[in-house]
Formats: sequence, C-alpha cells, structure tokens
Amino acid sequence: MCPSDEIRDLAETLAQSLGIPGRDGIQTVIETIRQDALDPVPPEVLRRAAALAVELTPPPSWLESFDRLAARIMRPLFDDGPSLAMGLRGDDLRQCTLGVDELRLDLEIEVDLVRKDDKGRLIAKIRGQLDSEAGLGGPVEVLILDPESEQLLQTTRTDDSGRFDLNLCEGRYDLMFRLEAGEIIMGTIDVP
Amino acid sequence: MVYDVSTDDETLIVAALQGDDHAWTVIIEKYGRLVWSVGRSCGLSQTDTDDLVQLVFTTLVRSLGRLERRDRLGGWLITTAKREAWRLSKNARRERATAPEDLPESLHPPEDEEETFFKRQAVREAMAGIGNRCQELLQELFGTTQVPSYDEVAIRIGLKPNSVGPTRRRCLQDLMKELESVASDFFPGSS
Repeated sequence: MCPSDEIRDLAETLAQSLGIPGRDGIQTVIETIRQDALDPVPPEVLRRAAALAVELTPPPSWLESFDRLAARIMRPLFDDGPSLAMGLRGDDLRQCTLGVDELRLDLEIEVDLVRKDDKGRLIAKIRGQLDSEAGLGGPVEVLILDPESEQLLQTTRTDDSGRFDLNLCEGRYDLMFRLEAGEIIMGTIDVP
Repeated sequence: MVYDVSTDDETLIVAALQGDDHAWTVIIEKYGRLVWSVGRSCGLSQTDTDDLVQLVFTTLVRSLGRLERRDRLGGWLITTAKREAWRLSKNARRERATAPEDLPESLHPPEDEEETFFKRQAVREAMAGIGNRCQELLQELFGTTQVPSYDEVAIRIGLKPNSVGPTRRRCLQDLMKELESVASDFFPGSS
C-alpha cells in the first residue's frame, strides 16, 4: 500500500468514527502533519529569515532625533572658488565664509589632486574656524551630514578657540554646529 | 501588542512596517513553512530551498509597504516562491529554459497544487488554535509513516494508554472546528 492509500484509508476510518461527512479534511490534516514532520524546515533557515527584520526599520534621520530643530542657517558671505595654492604643488585651495547674525565660519578647503579615495573621488582637507561675537563658550560639537539622507557621516569638535579639521571626499555636505546652549547652526558646503 | 500566528496578516504587516521586529518574526513563523513546502514540491534540494526562503522573504521585506492586498499574503508568497523556485532551478541546471512552461514536471506544480498549499497552510493555522497537548498528540499519531501504538504515544506525551483514543477524538474534533473557522471555503462543514 502506498503512503497516499494508507492516509486515505486512515482518514476514511477516522471520519467515520468521528461522524464527519467526507474524509477530505482529515486527509489534508494527516498529510500536512506528516509532510511537516518528515521534511521539517531547519530552524536556522527561519532564524535567518527573521533576521531580515533589520531591513524593516530605515536608519532614523539624524535630524529627527532632535526634539526641536531650530537651526539658524548660515549663508555664504564669501567664496574665492578653487584656485591653485601658491607653493602647494598638486593641491588646490579654496576659501569661503558663511555667516548668520553674530556667527561666522571661515573655511579653507584644500584639495589633494593626487590622492583619491577608493572610489576615485578627490579628498579635501577642511580647516575651519568658527567665531562668534558673543563667544562660543568652549569647544563646539561639529557634525557632518549627508544632505540627501540626513545621515550622520562624521563628528568632531572644535578646540577652545573654534578651530577644527576634517577630511572629506568631494561632494555636498551639511555642517552642523551644536553650541553650548543647545542651539544649532547649519551651513552647506560643496567640496571642493 | 502581542502577536501570534492567529493575528490577521494586515495587522502583522502594519506592525512590521512600523519597525516591530516581533510582528515580522510572527510572519516568518506563520509562513516560513509554506514557502519551504513550495520549494520542496518544485523539486528543489534543501540547500536551494533554504536560498528560496531567504529570497522570498527578502523580496517581501522590501515590498511590504507596496503590497496591494495585505489580506492575501499567503497567495503572494506562493506566487513569489514558485517564480523564484523556477529561477533557482534554472540557474542550478543551467538549461536554456525561457519560460515556466519549459519546467520539467517535478518543477512545475500542477494548478490544483496551489489549492493544496492553501489547504495545508489552513491546517497549520488551525493547529496553532488548538491546545499544545492536542498538537503534540496529533503530531505523534500522524507525523510518521510507522503508525505508533497507543502505548508508545501515551508514554511519550504522558497520557494514560486508555485515554489516547478519546483524546485523539476530542483533539481532531477541535481541529476540524478550527479548520472550518480558518478556511471555511476549503473545509465547509468539516466539523
């Protein structure tokens, strides 16, 4: 007797003894239980599928992590554009200034025309100086964000006098400065 | 909120989209076996079926927000699993198959097999609705080709030998009632 005959006969007997019209339901029950027992899904297969849950939650926008976002946006005040720096063979230097109210950010963007990252993008050394007429009140947290995804790319801090250094690949970035009182200042720069 | 396999699909999908890992785990618990059985019925090896499960649920996790019929998740999974099983099989065999019609018989489940997938999925969901003791008993009794004696079953699950028969009867009746409530289209008047 082949297994399907055996299951059919068993289902027939059970259906009669239980007074259930037709054996199809019980036959499906037996077939399902048997199939699942004889060919079980390995637990690690299900564990790996369950681990896909990480794809459900997109990384939170860094900006959304603020309870309130009351950033003051710095506007470009000066930009001399990329130019070959005197005495810096193979380098390109650009200076720009951004500001809002009493705050001023001076940037020197020095591009290394020789060295590139693993994707072939230019690398620039950024030297920054943040000044405030009211004083910064100590070191300031500097955050570099991708303007498209708002994801945090880098963080650093200024020194006591507002100076900071960064290395960035060519591209557009949002720079955020979190002042001592929690106030946020933002500016967008293009590198180089 | 606590979810289990009896939670409706739409609730699970909405919770998963809100980042609820547990809701996603319940989706896997509820439908992992279904996807596995589609792969196996298409003749895939265990290794290929493992790949199939990961492929199908990767597709699901990325499509979850765009599913048009959230109440028909089972059907979506069956269709996706059959399509991916065909692709996996094609890659494995490196044959010049260009359409599902080219599949060998074992890789091309007959149309009525789709109904079988749904029926068996209903049985699994109904099983989750009966007590653990009943699940255990029915699995002991029907989960093997060698039908065990009542004495063996009684020892394994801690019942008196003479209560196996009546318990089996009660459990099957409970299961058939659940089955009718889970899938009355497929199992009308089963209880």
